[in-house]
Amino acid sequence: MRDIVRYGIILTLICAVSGASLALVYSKTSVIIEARQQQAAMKAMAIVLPKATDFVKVEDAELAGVASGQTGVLEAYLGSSAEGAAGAIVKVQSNGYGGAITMLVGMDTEGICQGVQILSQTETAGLGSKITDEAFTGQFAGMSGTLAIKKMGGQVDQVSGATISSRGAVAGVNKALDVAKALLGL
Amino acid sequence: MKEMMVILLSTILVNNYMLARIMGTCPFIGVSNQFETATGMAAAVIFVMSLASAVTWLVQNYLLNPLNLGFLQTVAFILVIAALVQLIEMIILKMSPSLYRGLGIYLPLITTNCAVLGVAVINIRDGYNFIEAVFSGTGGGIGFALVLIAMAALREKLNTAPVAKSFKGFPLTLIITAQMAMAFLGFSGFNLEKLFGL
Amino acid sequence: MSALNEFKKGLWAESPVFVLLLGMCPTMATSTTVMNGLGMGIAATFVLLGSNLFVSLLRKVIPDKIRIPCFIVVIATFVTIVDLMMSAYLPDLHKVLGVFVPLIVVNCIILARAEAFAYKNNVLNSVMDGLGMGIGFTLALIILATIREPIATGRILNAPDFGFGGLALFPAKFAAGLISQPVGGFMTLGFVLAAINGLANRKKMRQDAACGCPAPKEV
Repeated sequence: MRDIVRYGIILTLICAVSGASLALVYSKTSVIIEARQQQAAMKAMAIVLPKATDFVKVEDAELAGVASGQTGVLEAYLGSSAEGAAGAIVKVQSNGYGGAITMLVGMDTEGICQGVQILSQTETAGLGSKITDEAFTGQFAGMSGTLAIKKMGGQVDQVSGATISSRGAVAGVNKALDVAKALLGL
Repeated sequence: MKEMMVILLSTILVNNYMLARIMGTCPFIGVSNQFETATGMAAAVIFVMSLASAVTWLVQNYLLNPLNLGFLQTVAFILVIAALVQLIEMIILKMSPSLYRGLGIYLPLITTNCAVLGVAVINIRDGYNFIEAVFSGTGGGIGFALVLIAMAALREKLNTAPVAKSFKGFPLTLIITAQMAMAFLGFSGFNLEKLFGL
Repeated sequence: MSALNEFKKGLWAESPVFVLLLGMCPTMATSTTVMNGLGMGIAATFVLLGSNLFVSLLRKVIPDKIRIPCFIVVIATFVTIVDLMMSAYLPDLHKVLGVFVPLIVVNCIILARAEAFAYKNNVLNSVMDGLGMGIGFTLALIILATIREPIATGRILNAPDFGFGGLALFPAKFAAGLISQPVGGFMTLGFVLAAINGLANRKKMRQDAACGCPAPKEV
């Protein structure tokens, strides 16, 4: 009996020291990690809506109303600059080949797509993952209306050999553009 | 239900823990040389992986997250797994002493099986809910078991084959594993969602 | 045994990967590029050092019956420290190594050295052992990566965290990307182990021939 109590005390002590030292390291590093995540988010937003300098997050309730039942609409921001409203940014998730594709899409006040950034995807490495390349995402800037890949009669060049990944990405862009249009009252 | 089948098939075939994620190599190579021990180990791993997925999910969502102790995930999870394996050891000893002896050192070594901790961490990372986590753990275990038993069957046959001296044992097992991994790569194109009409 | 011997043995003679055959999962998974292997190796060495140090310091205090849970807590603590520091200061490496960073806690090498050495030896020797094993592990990773990275990508020393794209060796379109997949990991380790076995066998045959003993029959 005495042994078990002794074991318990020693193990608890070791766990306590472990927990304390980890809390210390965490308090120091979490600041840096959060700052970096903020920076990355700001950078992505600046890419998809270059005209905007300030971003205001759209309330979840308002976003849900505008998304009208569509799944995968995660966040939205209204962008503005010194000249007034600059457009909207929507973060959506769509289904690709290997899983969900999360992306940021920016639209200006005229209803024209300003940029697309893929935030995360689990497509096939070297094939579907090429949707993150500038060669694919760059073509969306300047497009408007409902988009489709060239194979289906649209204007978007799909990633060769990765039709399903490309279609998933385009579906996400369309979803985001619809929501952005509604948010901007277009 | 269909989503669960997708998760199950995905962890067994498409993202097989051993062949696609490279987790669980040490026990895989150590136990796969005898068919009997391999089947015993396979069953134990399925059990531990499902149970560990369930318990670690509960620990993460009802203990770590509410108290903002997310950074203690590694410590908490590995302690949970170590405790679970101890429990399973005691159960196996009671139920089948011969299996206990057969597994020998490899039973407590399930604690250090990358796949067990791996599935627990990946469940949280991919944002699964409880049911999804359990299916993912069970599927992961089944996938590992599948490959382990296949390898054991192969190695028993290879024992009588003439093999170049340098390649005998580990090197050959690794190269066979490479070929199995290549075969399973064929599953990576599997559109499971479409199969189940999701 | 002098402390220096404890250090040297982990580098090659008792290489944790090639001789003791431990820690194969992270070896195959993270040897895709030289910088990844180096990063994982240094992280694991840090954990190994910390673990061996503390287990050796506390070896008189930790009761034998609960030694494994105690080792696990110590190792997991150092792994979490490495995890947090890496995600703060080396985010690209952290993203690439992914789930294998927390998996350092189940790296057989660390638990094996705590159990087989640090628990029974003094602090200096334990630290030397940890350092040697850790560097040996890193060396093994780098050897494998030096084979895999060029064949799979046509470049070597790609280091995104430091903004260095690596040295291009040949155009990427001739590269066999499959080698950086698990397939390549298993195959490369298999062939390297076979090569080492082959060299060891030849050395043994030459030694036997030199001393005039009859050469052992081929099994």
